[in-house]
Amino acid sequence: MKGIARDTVLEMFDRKMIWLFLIITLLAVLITLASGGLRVPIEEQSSQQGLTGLEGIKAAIIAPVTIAYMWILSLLGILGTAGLFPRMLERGRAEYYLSKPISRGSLYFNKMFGIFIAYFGVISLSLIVVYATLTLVHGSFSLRLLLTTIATGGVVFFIYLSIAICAGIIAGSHAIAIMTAFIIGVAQWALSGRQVIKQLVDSSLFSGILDGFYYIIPKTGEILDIGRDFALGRPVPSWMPLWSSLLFSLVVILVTIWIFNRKNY
Amino acid sequence: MNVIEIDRLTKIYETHMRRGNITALDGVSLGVGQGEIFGLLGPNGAGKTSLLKVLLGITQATAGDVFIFGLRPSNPESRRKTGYLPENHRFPNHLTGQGLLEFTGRLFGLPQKVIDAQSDRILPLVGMDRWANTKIRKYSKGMMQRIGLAQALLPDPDILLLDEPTDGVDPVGKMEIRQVLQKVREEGKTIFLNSHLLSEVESVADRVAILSRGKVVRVDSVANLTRKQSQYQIEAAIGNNLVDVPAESGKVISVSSDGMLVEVPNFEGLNKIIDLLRLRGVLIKSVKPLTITLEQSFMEIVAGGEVAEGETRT
Repeated sequence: MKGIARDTVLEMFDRKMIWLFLIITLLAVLITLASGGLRVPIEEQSSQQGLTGLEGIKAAIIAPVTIAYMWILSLLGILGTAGLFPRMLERGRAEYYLSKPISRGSLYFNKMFGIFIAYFGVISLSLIVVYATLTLVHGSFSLRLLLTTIATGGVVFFIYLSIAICAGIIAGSHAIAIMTAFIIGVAQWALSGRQVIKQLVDSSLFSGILDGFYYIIPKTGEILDIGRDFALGRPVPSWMPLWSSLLFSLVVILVTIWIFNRKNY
Repeated sequence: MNVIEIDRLTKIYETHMRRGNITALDGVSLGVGQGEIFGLLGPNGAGKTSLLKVLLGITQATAGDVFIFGLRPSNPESRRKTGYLPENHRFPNHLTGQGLLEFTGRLFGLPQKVIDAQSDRILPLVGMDRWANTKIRKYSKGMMQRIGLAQALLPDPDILLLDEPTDGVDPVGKMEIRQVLQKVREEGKTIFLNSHLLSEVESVADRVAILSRGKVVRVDSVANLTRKQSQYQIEAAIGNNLVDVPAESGKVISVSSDGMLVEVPNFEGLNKIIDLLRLRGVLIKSVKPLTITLEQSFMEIVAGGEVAEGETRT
């Protein structure tokens, strides 16, 4: 339903989010232009990455920078969009939306689609501009890296968006939606280093719990690693973090719709 | 045929606290016919807004059945031919008035041509054509109500559900909204009007349901509710004639040289009094049932309040 998607774009412009992304893009472009004078420690990088050839080495440096930029933008996107569902469903506004001849499931999917298209579209555009500048300054343009980074960012944005929307619908609060996404982000980061934690706490039960949480909670950090490896043409050690995280999002979406259908407004 | 059918509807809000549950609606049964202006009255907290929300599927019923055009509220198609103006609404304020109508039209799945034609027709009707391109956040309360009514009318609904439609509107605006409602009624559409402004309901509604503490305490026509059943104003040149009314026929409440107010147990008693006056050669000009305002009737029904004599009107 293009009405809701179009309305979400208008809402984004009205909330001046577009200006925030524009300012960040300009800053990133300026920093990239200023980085033209930096000398890349080629030998050190080549020994670390096991790469040969100047283009390959440059790509090995540019890839994490590009992915990190995408990750920052996705995080900002989540902060900017977490409040959209609670806002749509606040008293006096929920009545307007829910009195229309559309199901709540359809309203959910259309709004989520609208948010994704509007915000991730701007994020992708910003990445393209910054990556184009980066490769103009340093060379080593790779369409594979660009597309993989956009796809990786899209997956990460989608996962956190589904979590933020779920928390927003259940609690009806912008702050709780952001906090929940933040907590999941911290938890996945902590769980990615669970081997270190296991060494600190010598308990098989504790180890089992940590492993359980690790497999349940989305692994966005590892998805970014998968994206980087794939972009550089390296073998991906395991695709499990990707599909298990997407499965988590799917479950979250189904639970959210189930709760949304039963809520009174 | 009833376009709205409500059967033993109960709505209980669970608080999940020790404060206990809140029963907003308690076994409400109602039917609203095609082309009727139906008023829903009740004090604050009586359950009026809850009833509208259950009708539209915004809130779910705890027990009982609700149908709009024979469809349950859980079916989104039940809302296809309904327009709704919520109480204390907060429309997406990043839109202009025109933008709100376009967005509403899209949510109803209407083609752009229809949306444009409807907008061109409705905006002047509610007096908002001048402000169509102004953002909603800049609207006054009265303008918000007008644009709210416009979005409710946009899908050309067969049922218009209005929750406090004249809230915050100035007297001229109220009159204009009443005129719009009359026009909508002339088109054969049904209006379900929820208001605590009794004079407003009295002036437009055909039938009224009075809700109190979640229960329907009376459903009747406005004419019946505003008729003081047993009292009649007899306009007659009584002059200095003394009229003794037999107790079984009724009693005289007040008398003056140009008429009298009588209370009778039935029509027979009224006719006996008229016969008595005629026997004395009194010229009778008119006999009218004494009416009261809907507000007085409402107070009698809901609060059991006394109706002051001076407030009665014929």
